[in-house]
Amino acid sequence: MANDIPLSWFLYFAAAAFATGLVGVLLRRNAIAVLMAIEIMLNAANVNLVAFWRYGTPAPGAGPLPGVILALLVITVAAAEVAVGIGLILLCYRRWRAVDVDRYETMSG
Amino acid sequence: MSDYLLLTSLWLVPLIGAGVVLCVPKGSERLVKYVATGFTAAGLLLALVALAIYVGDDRANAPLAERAAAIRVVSWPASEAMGAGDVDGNLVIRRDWIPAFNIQYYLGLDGISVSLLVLTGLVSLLACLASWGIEKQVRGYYALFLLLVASMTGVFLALDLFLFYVFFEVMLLPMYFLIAVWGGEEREYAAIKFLLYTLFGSVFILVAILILYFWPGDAPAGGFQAGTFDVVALTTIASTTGYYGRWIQDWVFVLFLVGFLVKLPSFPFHTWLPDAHVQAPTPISMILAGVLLKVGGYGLIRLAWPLAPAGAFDWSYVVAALGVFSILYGALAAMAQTDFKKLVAYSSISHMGYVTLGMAAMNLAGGSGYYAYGVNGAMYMMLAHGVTSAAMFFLVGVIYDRAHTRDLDSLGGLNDAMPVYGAMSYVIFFGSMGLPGLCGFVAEIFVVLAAFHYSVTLGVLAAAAVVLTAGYILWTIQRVFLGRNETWKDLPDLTAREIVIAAPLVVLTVLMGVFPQPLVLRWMSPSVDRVVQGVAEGSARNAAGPMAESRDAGPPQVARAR
Amino acid sequence: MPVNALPMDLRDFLRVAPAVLLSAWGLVVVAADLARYRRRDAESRRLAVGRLTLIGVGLALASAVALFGIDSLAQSDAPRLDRLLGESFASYFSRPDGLIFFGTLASGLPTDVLNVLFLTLLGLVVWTSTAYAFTDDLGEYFALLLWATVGMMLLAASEELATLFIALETMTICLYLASAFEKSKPRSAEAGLKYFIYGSVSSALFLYGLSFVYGLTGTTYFDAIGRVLGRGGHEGLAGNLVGGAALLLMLVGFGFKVAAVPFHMWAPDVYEGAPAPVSAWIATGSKVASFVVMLKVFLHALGPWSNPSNELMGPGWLGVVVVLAAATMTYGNLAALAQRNYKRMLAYSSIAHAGYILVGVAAASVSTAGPEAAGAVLYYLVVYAFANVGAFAVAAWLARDRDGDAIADLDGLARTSPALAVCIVVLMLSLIGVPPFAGFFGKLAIFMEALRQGPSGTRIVLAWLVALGLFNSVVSAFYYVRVLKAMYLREAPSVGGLQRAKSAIAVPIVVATVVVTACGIVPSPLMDLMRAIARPMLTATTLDATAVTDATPAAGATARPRPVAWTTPSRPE
Repeated sequence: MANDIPLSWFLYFAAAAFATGLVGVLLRRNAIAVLMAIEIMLNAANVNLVAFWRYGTPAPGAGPLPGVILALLVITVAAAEVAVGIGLILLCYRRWRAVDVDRYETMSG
Repeated sequence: MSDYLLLTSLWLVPLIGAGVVLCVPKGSERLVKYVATGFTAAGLLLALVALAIYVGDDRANAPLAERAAAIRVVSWPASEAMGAGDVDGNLVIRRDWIPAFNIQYYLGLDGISVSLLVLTGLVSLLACLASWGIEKQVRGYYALFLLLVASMTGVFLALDLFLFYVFFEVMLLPMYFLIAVWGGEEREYAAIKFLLYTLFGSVFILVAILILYFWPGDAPAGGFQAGTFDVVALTTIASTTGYYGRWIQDWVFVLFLVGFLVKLPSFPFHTWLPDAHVQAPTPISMILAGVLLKVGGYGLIRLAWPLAPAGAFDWSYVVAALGVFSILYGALAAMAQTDFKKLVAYSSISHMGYVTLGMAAMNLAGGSGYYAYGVNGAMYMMLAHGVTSAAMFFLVGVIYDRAHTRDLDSLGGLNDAMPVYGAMSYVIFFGSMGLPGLCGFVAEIFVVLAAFHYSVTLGVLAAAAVVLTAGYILWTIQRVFLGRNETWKDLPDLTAREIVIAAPLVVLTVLMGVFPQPLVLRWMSPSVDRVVQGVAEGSARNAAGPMAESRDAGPPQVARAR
Repeated sequence: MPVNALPMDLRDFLRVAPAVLLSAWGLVVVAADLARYRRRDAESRRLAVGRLTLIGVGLALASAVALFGIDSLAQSDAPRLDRLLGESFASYFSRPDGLIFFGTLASGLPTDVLNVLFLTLLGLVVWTSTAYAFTDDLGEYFALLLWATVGMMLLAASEELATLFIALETMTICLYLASAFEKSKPRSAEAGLKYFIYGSVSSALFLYGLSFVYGLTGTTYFDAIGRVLGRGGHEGLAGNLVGGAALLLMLVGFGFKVAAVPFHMWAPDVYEGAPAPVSAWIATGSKVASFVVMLKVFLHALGPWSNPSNELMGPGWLGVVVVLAAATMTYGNLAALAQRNYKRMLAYSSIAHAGYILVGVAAASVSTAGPEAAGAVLYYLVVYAFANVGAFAVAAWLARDRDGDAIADLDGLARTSPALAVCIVVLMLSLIGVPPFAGFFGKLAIFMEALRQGPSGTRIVLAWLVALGLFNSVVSAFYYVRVLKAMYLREAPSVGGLQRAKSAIAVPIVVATVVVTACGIVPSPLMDLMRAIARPMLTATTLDATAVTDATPAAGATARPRPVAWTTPSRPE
C-alpha cells in the first residue's frame, strides 16, 4: 500500500521540481529553455495532483478520480501550450535570428 | 407651474440650449448667438420666476427643513403623475435616482440659493452678450458656455450631496475647454492648473461626503435614516443631535473647507485664479468671477458650516485668520500688479477673504446675533462681488479690445477719450472698494462688525484692509483714467451693446448699496439666520466647555433688527 | 457509491448554446476563408470574412439573449414558461441550482448576462478588426477571436477548478496567438512571445496553487471547497504552509491575468505590440472574465480564508489584496503619466483600473451588503470594458491612418471629426471617473461598498484605501486630459492626418459612448441587474452538495449561510 512512501515525499519532490522550473524561467535567457522550465512547473503540479488523489480521502460527491482527471487535462493543455510556444518562438527566431529573449526589445517604457 | 417643472427646467433649459446650439447648421454664426442668448435669457427668466414665487408665496419661504419634510420620496418613473408626493408651490422636489445607495434627485430653493441663482442667470446672460465678439468655433463655444451655466445652476439647486457633487464636477470640463481653447497665450497652462486644483479640491469634498454618509454606520438617535446624502436631514442631524461627534466633525469640516477654499479661492489655494483669469476670454472671466467663485462660498455656507458646526467652531479662529490674511494678501498683491486683469483677479481674492472671515467670525456668546451679521455680510459680499467683479472684468475686456494692452503703466487718460466708459467704471470700482452707498459697503460693514465682536485684532486688520483696497482702486483709477495720454485719445467710447451689458451691473451696484434691505436682505436673511441658528445650536451641543468668552450681550438678529 | 450523484443531461448543451455556436462558427470562418474568400482582393476579403464572423457573433448573441429571456422568465413567471416550452423543458430551466455538466458550469441569469456582455464586446472588437489590414490570415485570426471568447464565456461560468483551468487556457492560448498576428511588425511577434511566457508561467503558478487547494479539501468544486474551508482548520496564510502557499500562488496567478502590480510587466508591451483589436480584447474580455472568476474563487471557494480573524492584516487574503490594490492603482497611474504612446498609456491605465477593481474584490468580502457588493465590481467591469473597447477603436484608427500610436497622432482631431472627438472626450472622462459618466458611478459604487462594513479593524484601512483611490483618479486626469489636449488644442498636420473614420471605427466608439453616458445618467437599471446576479453567481450550490456538509458535520462548525440561488434580492433599505 502507499504507506511505503509518505505523501510528504511526493510533495517535496514536486516542490523541488517546481522551484527548478521557476528558477529556470527566471534565469534562463534561451526561449526554448524557458519553455522547458514552464513544462517542469506544470508537471510538478501534476505530481501534486496525483499524489493528493492517491493519499487523500475524496470528498463525498466529488467522484473518485478528480486529481487524475485534472492531471490528464493538464497534460493536454501543456501539449497545446508547447505547440503554441514553439510557434511563437519560431516566429521570433525568423525575425531576429536568435532565440535569446533579451534580444527581442522593440518596445520599452 | 409645478415645482418639478420649474426646478428641473432651471438647469435643463441651458442644457437643452447647448444641444440646440450644436444642431445649428454650420455657417450661421449669428443664429447661434441668438439661440444661445435666448436660452440664457430664458434661464434668467426662470430664476426670476423662482425668486418671485419664493418671495411671494408663504408655502415657498417656510424653513427648508419643514418644506422638505412635507415631501414623500417618490421612486421614479413609478409614479404616473409627475408631481406625486410633492407639495405644490414649495420649491422642493425629490425623486429616487440611485436607490441602491439612497441617492436622490433632490432639488430645492431657499433664500441663499435663490439669490445666487438669480445672480447666475444675470451674469450668464450678460456674459453671453459679451461673447458676441468670439469668432473662433462659435458653436462649440456657446455649447460649452450653456453647459457651464446648466451645471452652475444645478449646483445651487441640489439638496442631495451626491447630486451636488455631480453638478460640481460637471462644471470643470466646460471651464477647462473654455479657457484652454479660447484663452490667451498661456491658456493651456492656466486651464490645466485650474482643472487640477479643482479636481484635487473636489476629492476632499467627496471624502467629506462619504464620511457623512457612512459614519458611523448605524442609525442615529432621533429617527433619522442612516446612510443618506440628504443635505437638509444631515443639517438637522448636525444641529439637533450629537450624532456626529466632535472629532469626526473636525475632519469633515477641514475636508469641506479645503475643497471649497480652492474654489473660493482663498490663500493658500488661490494661485490658479490669477492665471485662469488672465488667460480666460472676457465673458468667461465674468462667469468665473461672478458665479464660479460663489460656488465655493455657497459650499461653505450650505455644507461646511451647517454639516459640521462643532468642527467649524473648533477651527473658527484659524479660518478667520486665513480670511483676514487673504484680504490683506489679495489687496497687497493687487497693488503690486501692472496687468489690469491680474489686479482685478487679486482683488477678487481679497474680497473673497471677507466671505471666509464673515463665515468664520463665530462669536456665539449670548446668542448668535453678531455671527448672523457676519454670515449675512458674507452672503451679501458674494452677491455684491458677483455684480462688481463681473462688471470689472467686462470693463477690462472692453479696454483690452480697443487698446490691445492691459498694462496699467501704458494706459492712462481714458477719461477724456471714453467718458461713458469712465463714468461707469468709477461706479463699479467704487462699489468694489466699499464706498458707502454702493453695494460693497454693506457687505464689508457687516463682516467687519462681526469680526470686531469676534476678535479685535482680526477686526482691526480687516478694517485696515479697507484702506489698502481704497489704495489700489484709487491708484488704478488714477493710472487708467486720469491724466493725459496722446496714445489713446482716439479710442471709441462704449458701443450700445457694451452699454447694455454694463448698465444693469452699474444700476445694481447702486441699488444694492442704497436699498439692501428691501431689495435683498428682506427675503435672503431669514434663510441665512436659520443657517446661523443651526450652526450655533450644533456647535453649542457638541463643543465642550465654554463656547466663547462672554464679551457682551448679543444684539438682536439681523432680520428682526430692521 | 455512484460515480457522480448528478445525472448528465443532454439538454445542458442547450444552455451553453452560445459557446457551442461560436466554437463551430470558428471552423466555418476558417473553412469559408480558405474555400471562398482567399482569392478576392485584400480589402473585400477582409470585409467579407469580418461580416461572416459578425453573423456568427450575432447568432450566438441571439441565443444568449434567448437564454436570458428564458431564465428570467423561469424566475419571474414560471407558468408562462410552461406554456411556452412545455412542462419538461420548463422544469429543466427552472431548476433552482442552475448548474450543468455535473455541476462544473453555472448557467442561468448571471451566465446569460455575462455572455451577452462578452458577445456584444466581441461584436465591437470584430467590427474594429475589419478597419485596417494587419494580417493576411484572416480566417484564422477571426476564428481565434471567437475561440478566445468561448474560453471567456466558459471561464466566467466555471464552478470547478479543472473547468476553470481549461477555460483559462483556451482563452489565453488563443490570445497569445492573436497578439502575434500583425506580421509586418516585429513588435507584434515579440508581444505574442512575451504574453505567452508570462501567461504560461502564471498558469503554472496558479495550477500549483490549485493542486494544494485540491489536496487540502479533496475537491475541486468551488462550493464544496468553500464548505470544507468554512469548517475551519485551514487558516490560510497563517494556518499552515500549504494553505498559505496555495493562497499566494493563486493570487499571483490571478495577479498576472488581471495585470496587478507587481505582476503587470507583460501588459504594456503586449498592449502596445499586439494589433489594436487584440489589445482591446485582452484589455476587456480577458480582464472581465478573469475578474469574474477571481470573484468566484476568492469570494465563494476561498471566502472563509478572506479574513478569518477579522483583522485586516491577520491571516487571510484580504490584506494581500488590499496591498495589491493600493500598489496597482498607484503604480499604474504614475507610470501612465510618463507615456506618450496611446496604447501604452491605455495599458497602464488598465493596470490602474485593475487596482480599483481589486479594491472592489476586497470590499465585496467585507461589505455588510453580502454578495450583492460584488455587483459593484460587475458594474465597474461592464463600464470599463465598453469604455476601453471604444478607446482601442481609436488606437485602430491611428494604426490605420498614421501607422503609429502616439498620442500626438491625434492632433487636431476635433477639427476633422468633431462628433467622434466629443465621443472620445466622453470615454476619457468616464475612464477618469468624472460624473455624470458611468465610470464615476462604477468607482463610487466600489468605494461605497468598501466603506459599507461593520465596525471592525478593516474599516480604517479600507477608508484609507478609498482615499488613495480617489486621489489616484485625480492623478489619472493628467494623462487622459493629454488626449483631449491633443484633439482640441493642437492643429492637425496638413498632410497625413487621420482620415474619416469608417463604420468599423466609428461604431465601437459611438456604442461605447452611448453605453457610458446612458449608464451614467441612469445608473440604476444596470446597477440593480448586476447586484441581482451577483448573489446567485457567488453562491451557486449543487443540489446534493448539502450532503457534503451533512456527511461530515464538524463539531462547532459555523455553517456559512446558504441562501437559495435564484432569488432576486429586493433593494436593501
